[in-house]
Order: sequence, then C-alpha cells, then structure tokens
Amino acid sequence: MTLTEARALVPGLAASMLDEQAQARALETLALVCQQFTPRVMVDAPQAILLDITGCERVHGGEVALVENVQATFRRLGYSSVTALADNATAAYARALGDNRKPESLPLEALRLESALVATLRALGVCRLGELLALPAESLPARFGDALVSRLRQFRGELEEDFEVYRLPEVPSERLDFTDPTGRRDALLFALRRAATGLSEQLNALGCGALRLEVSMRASEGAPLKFSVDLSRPAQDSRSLAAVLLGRFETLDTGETWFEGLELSAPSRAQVVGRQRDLFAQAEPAHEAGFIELVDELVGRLGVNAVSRAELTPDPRPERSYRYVTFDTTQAAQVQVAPGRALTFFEPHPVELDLDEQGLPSRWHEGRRSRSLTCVRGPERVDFAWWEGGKERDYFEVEDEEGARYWLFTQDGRWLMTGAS
Amino acid sequence: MARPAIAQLLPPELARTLGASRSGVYKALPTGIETLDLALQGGVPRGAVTEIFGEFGQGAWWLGLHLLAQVKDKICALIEPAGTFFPPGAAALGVDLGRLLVIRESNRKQALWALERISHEKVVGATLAVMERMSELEVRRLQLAAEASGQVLLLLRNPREISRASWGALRLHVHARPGQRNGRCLVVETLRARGALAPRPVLLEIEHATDAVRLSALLPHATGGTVTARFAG
Repeated sequence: MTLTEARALVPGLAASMLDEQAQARALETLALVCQQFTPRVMVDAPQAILLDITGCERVHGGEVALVENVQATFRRLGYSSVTALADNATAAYARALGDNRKPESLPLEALRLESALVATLRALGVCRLGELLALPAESLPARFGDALVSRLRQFRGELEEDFEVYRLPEVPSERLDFTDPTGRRDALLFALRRAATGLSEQLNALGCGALRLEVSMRASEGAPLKFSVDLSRPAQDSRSLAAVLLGRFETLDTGETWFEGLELSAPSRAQVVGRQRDLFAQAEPAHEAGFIELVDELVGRLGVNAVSRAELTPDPRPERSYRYVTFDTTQAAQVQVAPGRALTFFEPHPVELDLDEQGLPSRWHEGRRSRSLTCVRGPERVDFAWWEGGKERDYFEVEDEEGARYWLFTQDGRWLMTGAS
Repeated sequence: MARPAIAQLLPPELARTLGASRSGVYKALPTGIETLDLALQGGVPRGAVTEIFGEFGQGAWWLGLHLLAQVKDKICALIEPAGTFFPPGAAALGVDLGRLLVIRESNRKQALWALERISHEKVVGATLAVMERMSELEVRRLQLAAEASGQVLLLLRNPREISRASWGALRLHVHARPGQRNGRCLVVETLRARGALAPRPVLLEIEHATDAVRLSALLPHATGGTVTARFAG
C-alpha cells in the first residue's frame, strides 16, 4: 500500500525514510547485546539475529526461560521481535519469519527463496512448505534447481547454512542519530540517558564495566563536541553510566549549537567481578546502591581524582604519610598514628622567629604583629632519604599567646610553618 | 530553678513550624563530651547545619573532626577547597578514614555543588565543610538539604562571618586558652541554639599524649561590664 493509503487508515502515522546504515548499526548493537546469552551469534542483515544456544540453555534456566529473557531484553531496548526456537538455524529463521506457525503451514517466503522461484511455485499451486515437502524429492532439482533442494536440506538439518558470525567490536559504542537537529538541553540529556542504556546492555553482555566513557556529539555546524569521563570503578549499570555522563555534561556550555546525534563509547573497560559476601556480615555502607550512585555522580561532575578517601602510609615524612585512593580499592593495612599531629597541613612557608637560649622559638614576627610562642611539643626529628637530599627536619608544635597551635619545622637553619591544630 | 527552653513555652505545632523544637524527627548526635552534651541538650543536631567559628589554629578543626569521629555507623564526607586537610591528624582523633569521603576540588562553585549534593544523601551520616564567604541563601539550601537527609552538617567558618545572618540551627565559637603545657584548653561558646536559650560556655582540657578530653566544665556566661570586688577591712 502507499503511504497515503496507510495514513488514511492510521491518521497521524509517523513515517521516515529508511536509513540502512542506522539499521545495520542497530542490528550490530543487538548482536552484541545477545552475547550475554551465547558466544555464537550470527547476523543476517537487515532483519535477523540467530543465536546458537546449544549448551547455553542450562545457564539461563532452560530454553523457554532463555527465549523469554531474549524477548524481554529486546523489549527493554525498544524493539519488537518474533523469536522462534528450532533444531537448526534455517528452521528457526523460517519459523520466525512465519510467525511461529507449524512447519507445514509456513509460507514459502519463510524459506527466503528467490522471488522468481516462489512465483513459479505459487503458479503451480504450491503455497505452503507442507505442500512443497509433499512433492517428489527426486524431481525437485531438475524442475526448480539446486538452490531449493539445498534450502530444504538446511531446513531439515541435513546441511548447515552459512551465516555471518558476529565479531565483537574492539570498543563497545552506542550511536544515536536524532530525527531533527536540536540544541535543547533536556533533549540532549535524554539522548545521553538513552545512549547510556544501550551501552549498559553491551557492557553487561561482555561482562565488563567501563572505566572511561567518551562522548562525541555531532554538531550541525562546526566541530563535534567531545568530552570524556574517567570512572573510579568499572561501571555497567545504566543509572551509574547516566549519572556520570549527565554530571559531566552539566558542566559544559553548548551555547547556541545544535546537534544531529551522538556517539558514546567505552574505550577502557575492566571485568566486573561480583563481591562475595560473608553470610553473617553487615551490608557494607560503602556499597549501598545510593552511595554508589552518589560517588558516580560526583566522579562524573568533578573527575575521578577529586572523589577519594585518604589512606595512611608508614612513611614518617608528613607529606608522604598519606595518599588518596579511590573508594573502591581494598583497605590498606592499618597504620598507627601518634597523637598530636597537626589537623591542617599546607605548603611550608618561611616564618620569622626569635629563638631562646635553647634554640626554641620564643617569638613570631608576622608583618607588624609580633606574638610570643611557647614550644609545647618537639623536637620530632624526621630524616629524609639520601636520594632526596638527605636533610633532616625537626618538627615542633608551638602555642602563641592566644592559645593557637601551629606546626613548624626547622631545616638547614630555616624555620618554616606547615600546619595548625 | 532551671529556666525552661523556649520551645517548651510554645504550643508543639508552633514550635515545630518555627523550627524551635529540638525534639524533632532526628536524635542529636552525642559529642562524646558529657558536659558539652549537657550544654547542647544531647549533642549537635541531626538534620541541621551546625556552624563552627574559630580563628586559624584555635581549635575549630579539632572540634569539627572530633564530631565527625562520633559518627560510627555511616559514611562521612569532608569538603575543603583549600586542600589543607591532614588525614593523619584526623586519624589520630579517631576519624575512620576508610569511611571518610574526601572531595578534593579547589573550584568553589564545584565544591559548593558537591556539598549540596552530598547534603541530600541519607547514606551519609555527617559532612564537614570548610567554605569561605557562604551566603545566607547557600546556608539555607544546605539547611533544607540536611533536614531532608537527616545528616549532621558541620560548617567551619571564619569568625569574621559571625555577624552574617544564618539559617544554621546551632552556632558555636571555639577559641583556645593558652598556658597548658601538657595539654590544651579550648572554650566552646554557643552563639545560638535553635529552640533553647544559649547554654553556658564549655571548657575542654585535651590531654597531649592521647588527644582525649580529660576535663570538661561549664563556664559562667561572659558579662558585659567589669565586675569589681571590694573588700572591707
């Protein structure tokens, strides 16, 4: 029927030109997603994906459960599909094309024969597979050619049909082409969420999580807008991916630019390993879903280095006595810390001091102001390695006349302030 | 006779509407210092902003980290754009670094966004933030976020900002007293406590060797003028 006739039947029917490239990409994405069900996925563009589930059904709870899972996955991704199960690929393909009818009721088109051959068979009154199979087998090659015979043998499982085996891409990616260019931020945020969902399915299928996300948004005019996000831990959950992407996107100014589409990829990935928990252990707060989402959003907006926890090291030098790590790293060995450490620590700066007879600070001159000092702790000697100059430092805690406490050290006769309590 | 708290003089609905009731949805977080808990009617409020004012080196960081260390069962967060936080010092005060989320962001706008975002999270028990020049509106937003999440939200602020109006439920001023060689003396004054008359200042003596509070005592309220004692004889 023509488009006009279709619109007469369904007012408001949406129609667009077929984009074969987009269709092929979508099929590849679905094939990648299907890797979660079986490692052997075959593609017959533009419409079919074949899964060899031999031996895989046990993992997924049986054939029926696996088929339901496949259908649910496709629905979740926004696709409607016909799924059929058979002993070989050709039969399954035919059943799917024939809406899962009984083999003898399948139309000839389900065998994917040349249209001329199908027309010839119909002219002879053969319209169903059952009628074709009822014909004398020895007469088929001479009358209809080897192609028909081969296809029937493939349907019966006597011969294997060659399909293109899907190969995993080097970098999982999700591409979206907008129907119309847009510059609206809410539309772009929706597109990012949609892309995150698609990429999440791919990462789930591959059993890995993204450590880095790269986005390229194709502008209608000018260079594409590109940004990336590094994650503190492998993420495959669509909400986590969306949280980091949206967090980073909100810091970007798109100005008056209109975009035609975007591509989201995960160039860096790592295996996602499930944590085994002790049966009686309390749930770790750090792994609560809400906290993980919070960290993802913070990482997305601020960068992976800004979101961390501190870890002590055994190094006695104050500037090396700690380091920052991501929240997902394992706990380091506990390091004992002596009381009386400063509570704030900053880049050492020289101070002008008067010293008493014992060489301890007694007065601090800061601009026009002068304060008397009392040494309350120290000296605490810290040696530096010979390859770092080998100079030792003596640290002191001093208190001024108002009770404020500061952390000083002396090195090579110079006095520097480096912290406060 | 003890003077009743203002909240108890008001009808319960009015007290809650005005935010004067301390017996709200959340229990206070005990400070771990008996006298201070007594002065603050149980501790620092959960679901509210507590402002801690103090000059550099005068004990505000000590009090903030000490309060953070009292949260045992939840993640805590620390945000300080200036980047002077010293983890070994915090660990010595009992802060569990494994449960402390540290935001290292020097850009004030980004740090403020992170602070607001974290303040909304129920999984975070307490947040300590050191932000300069916070406006009344910014503190109000944090107060609303804390009310929703039930967090203890601690803001370390410069005493120069004391005169600014604020929505914080509790305002404390910490300053040190000189003269203790084997320990340290801090005085914690309550500038404002929502729903209560301003409690008396609390003196804390902190042991040098262990950083533990070895003595705490209530001080009399500071008087406006000079009192002269005269003796006959």
